[in-house]
Amino acid sequence: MISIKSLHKYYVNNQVLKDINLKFNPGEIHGVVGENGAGKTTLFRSISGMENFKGTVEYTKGEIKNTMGFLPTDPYFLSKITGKEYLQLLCNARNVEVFDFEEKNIFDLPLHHYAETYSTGMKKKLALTGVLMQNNDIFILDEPFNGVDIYSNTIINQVLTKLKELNKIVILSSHIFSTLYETCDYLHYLKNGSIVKSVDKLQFKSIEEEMQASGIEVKIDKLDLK
Amino acid sequence: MRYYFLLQYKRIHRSFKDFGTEPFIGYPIIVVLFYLMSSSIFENVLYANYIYVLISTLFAYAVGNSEHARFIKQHFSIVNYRKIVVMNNMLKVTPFAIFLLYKTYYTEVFLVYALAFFVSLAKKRSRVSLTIPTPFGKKPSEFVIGFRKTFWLFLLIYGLAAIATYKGNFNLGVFSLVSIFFVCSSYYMKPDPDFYIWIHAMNSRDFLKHKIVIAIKYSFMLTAPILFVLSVFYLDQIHITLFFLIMGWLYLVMYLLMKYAFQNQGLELFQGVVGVLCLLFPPIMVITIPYFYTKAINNLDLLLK
Repeated sequence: MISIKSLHKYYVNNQVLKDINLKFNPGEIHGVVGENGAGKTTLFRSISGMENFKGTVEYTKGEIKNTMGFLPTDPYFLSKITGKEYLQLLCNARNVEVFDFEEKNIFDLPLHHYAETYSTGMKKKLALTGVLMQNNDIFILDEPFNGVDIYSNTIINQVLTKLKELNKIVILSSHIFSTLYETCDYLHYLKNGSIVKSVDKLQFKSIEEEMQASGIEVKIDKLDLK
Repeated sequence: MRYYFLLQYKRIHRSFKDFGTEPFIGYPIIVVLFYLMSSSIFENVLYANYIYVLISTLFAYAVGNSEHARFIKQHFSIVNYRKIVVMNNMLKVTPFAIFLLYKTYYTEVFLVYALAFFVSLAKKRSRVSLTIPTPFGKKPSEFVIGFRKTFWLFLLIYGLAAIATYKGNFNLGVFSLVSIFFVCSSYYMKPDPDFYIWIHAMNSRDFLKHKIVIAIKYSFMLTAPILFVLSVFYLDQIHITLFFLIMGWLYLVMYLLMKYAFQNQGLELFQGVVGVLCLLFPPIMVITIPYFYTKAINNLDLLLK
């Protein structure tokens, strides 16, 4: 289990995360939703240990970093490195031996091409394949469905179901509510750096409605489109 | 367009601040270093005026990335885009031109600007679809990326080693050996994104050890043909060959440590200066290597707990 207690994050004097308290159990899929800039990525980076913060993130099975797969919103690929080499690098980093990368290439990516030449969706799929090959216990997936085609979205959904069956901890973010309905057990609404609502599957609708009722029409009117 | 150049000026200012120094201190340091490096070229190199022109052209071509160029192309009109590219290249070579003026090489000043103009017309390829094979795929690292960017240099260096053997010039052979280490050191000029460090399930010491082993192993693979030739044809001078091999490894390890000692600080210039100093006076490495090692460990501890 991952237990987050009183997590605060500041960038100089700007507080971006305020008193976050959450618990994630094995076999559960948690969704974190919020507007752009609400602090989702910062929260994920804090849990992973890539950011310093105030408060604690405890993991009952030991060192969280070494058993966590992190899928960034916008995966960065080193130049002149092929898809296969990227996967090899991620496996080497966790001492995982893989003999046949093509067999595990579930998205049929051109692994012998440079990753930097991949499209947005292909980059996301390559990065996701990498974290799946690392045999992690925890998965933080920052917008895994973003930019990915419908067929691959279905594969990702099935992968998430499988991870749940395998008793993994999955935390993800998405702006597409339909995918959250399909995959998540719990949803946490992050607004201005605070978790304002945490609900189970039966109450997802309440968060969706709350997010939609934030004066969209007034904002568009202000744009004064001509 | 005016605003674009104003922004570039602000970016340079900010990079000084990121470096940890005030611009009014940074600019004079850059000018002095540029003067010292230029002077040393003219003092030590044959046909320095022509080589200097070549360096300025390479500088205009190499500095600046294609993403940046694409961004300008997308958002400015084609005429303004051309103007910006030409202006950028002219500005880049101006310090070289000033130094040539100071040395009274007037024709070369004209050449510097003319070549910079032609370089502006050249189309820079950003995405090469051809995958260059490397022997380093089992442990993808700086060597995979670096080798693909500099593989053509190895053809030249191995060519030099062949000439050294044919002409019986041991010094040229040693020069080719040392050149390999220069090229490999350049692989460590760019910091890793945090993510690529964070993914490693090891502590900072093990991480550095792992990186150093890779650097030594792969640089040995690249120097092996030259080492073989030198030890077969110049067996009596094997001690000199081994001396330069070990110095090369120390130099490479220092660059590697420097990369992690200044992670996220974009210190290419600083690395260059320290590199030149250690080249001129190698005993400095007795101080720099342990210092950069400690600093690298402290830095890596933030990501590798």
